[in-house]
Amino acid sequence: MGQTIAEKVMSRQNLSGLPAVAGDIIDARVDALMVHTFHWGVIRNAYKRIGFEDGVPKVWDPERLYLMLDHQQPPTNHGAADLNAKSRADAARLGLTRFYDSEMGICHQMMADYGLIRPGEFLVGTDSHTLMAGALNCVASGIATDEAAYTAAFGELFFSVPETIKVTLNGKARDYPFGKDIVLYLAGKYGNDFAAGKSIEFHGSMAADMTIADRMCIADQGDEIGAKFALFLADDKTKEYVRARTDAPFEPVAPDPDASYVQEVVVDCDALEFQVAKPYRFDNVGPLSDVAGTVIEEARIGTCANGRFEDIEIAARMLKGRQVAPGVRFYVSPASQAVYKQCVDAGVISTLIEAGVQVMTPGCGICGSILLNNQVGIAAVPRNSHGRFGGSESGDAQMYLAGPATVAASAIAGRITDPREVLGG
Amino acid sequence: MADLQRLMQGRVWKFGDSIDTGQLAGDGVKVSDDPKENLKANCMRATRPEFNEQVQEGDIIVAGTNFGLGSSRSIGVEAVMACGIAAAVVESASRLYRRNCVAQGLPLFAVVGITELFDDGDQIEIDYTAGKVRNLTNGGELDLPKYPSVVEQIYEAGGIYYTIAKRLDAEGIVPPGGWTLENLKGKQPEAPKD
Repeated sequence: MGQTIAEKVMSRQNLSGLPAVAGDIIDARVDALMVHTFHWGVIRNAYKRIGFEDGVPKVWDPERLYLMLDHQQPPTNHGAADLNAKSRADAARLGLTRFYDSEMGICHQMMADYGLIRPGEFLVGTDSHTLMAGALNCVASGIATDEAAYTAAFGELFFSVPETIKVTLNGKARDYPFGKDIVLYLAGKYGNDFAAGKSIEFHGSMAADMTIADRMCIADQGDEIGAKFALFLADDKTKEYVRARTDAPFEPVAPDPDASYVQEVVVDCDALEFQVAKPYRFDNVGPLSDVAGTVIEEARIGTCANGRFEDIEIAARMLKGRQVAPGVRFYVSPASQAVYKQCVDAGVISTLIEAGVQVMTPGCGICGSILLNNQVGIAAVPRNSHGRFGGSESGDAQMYLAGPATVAASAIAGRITDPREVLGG
Repeated sequence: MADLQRLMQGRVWKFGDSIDTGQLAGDGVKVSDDPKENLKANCMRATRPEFNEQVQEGDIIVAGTNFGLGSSRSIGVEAVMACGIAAAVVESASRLYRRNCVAQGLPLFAVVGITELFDDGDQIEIDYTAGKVRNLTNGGELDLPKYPSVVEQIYEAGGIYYTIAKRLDAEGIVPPGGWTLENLKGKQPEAPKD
């Protein structure tokens, strides 16, 4: 019986040494654990509750616990600054070699930049979007914060071995980012619980042809369709991307030809229109034409879903010689310092600033920054549920989700607009 | 402690599909310097404003599909517990919310058909030992799934802290003040503020 990617990697990690089959509950070793800012505070607290005043007493492998003070840096309140200081002391005491101190960026992109996402590895993290690493064939998923306290000390945890859905994306890459439209289409057609804890493997000519940035968008947003893992195969593009960032060895994992899938889906991506998710769900999706003309006052591009160079470059390409519409606030935030530099080096940032874009430092800010009730925006960010943009005081703020080309076209026009009106074709 | 063997009874708060962690534990109003009070004040406030004011200790959530989707937040479970909720029975739950519930000791059950069986305000009974969930107001019952043994053990210990302590103890790692392992079962006191 052939194995899926998830079954292969979980078999390798299974502490019992037995082959892992979908449906099994296993105790598994992890290759690495990522913990970001706030959650290190929760883990410290877990240990304080059981008597360890200084927090975490031991880690299983100081080179494999990636501690990233990211999300919203530098700190804007005393609690956050204090946690940064305590994390810094913890990293020194525990000898963590992969500690990233108060760095403006997003942990998932930072892990990619620093060569910590490696094909074939089993990575867990205290963040729902940890599965973004699946874009680089890394079997990755979020775990609960308090159980990460266990994993931090012992490098192990219990897991269920997921069934796998095979999604075949056929078609040819376009000359603008299109990953968001593809994953929105999947959400619209199959719902936000499409995968419901299962693993997804992305196959097909479009999956092979698309950029790493688009793969990252789709894998990242795998969380919004319920996936435990969202995995792409490792091809030359993957290997080149990873090798440019680390000398560490890695071993890509592919499924067996006779692997067993619980569901198979084929998408003709060439036939897809631009997609938009309306408030207040990721799966409240229709073609852009359904909502074209909706007046917006805010536009955003960035986050772990859409903060890559390609996502930002398309905005600059479209804004070259144009201006953001009067009355529209257009925020662009690169996903990391490395992405920011790539944008600066390519002249993209200058173009955006000249066009009236508010270019922000890297981080998670625009993923949840406030939109008031009855304000309307469009964003290339991961989520748009009630209260995502300002909590229970902003339950009726209306955010549409779309790919970066659609967001940029809409910022130029001041209303939701088909990118082809700007790009031509 | 989440004593699974104890019969649980309470008022049903019925929510719809796709209740995400932002709705359960978002920001919004600040009512206190106590974080737990703020979590309670904002829990479900955007879509069910009376919930946080009227909810009573021991009440139980019944909800639709994909409960707890979205950002992985331990406070997504803490907020619900701060409201006094004793358990949640849902059509289906997001995997990360499920994991956070186990780690923090809040019983969460996925039971297909549960939203058909209950109206808001009904009395519910959760009988884990018998494997049944019953509507005490209008009658009717559904099967309740058993947890895998690893999960059952964590629930019986009130969350994952005891599991951590037990293994550290086995490795000879104990806090400076020492500990009595059995005292670490059940809900742990809040850590003192830094």
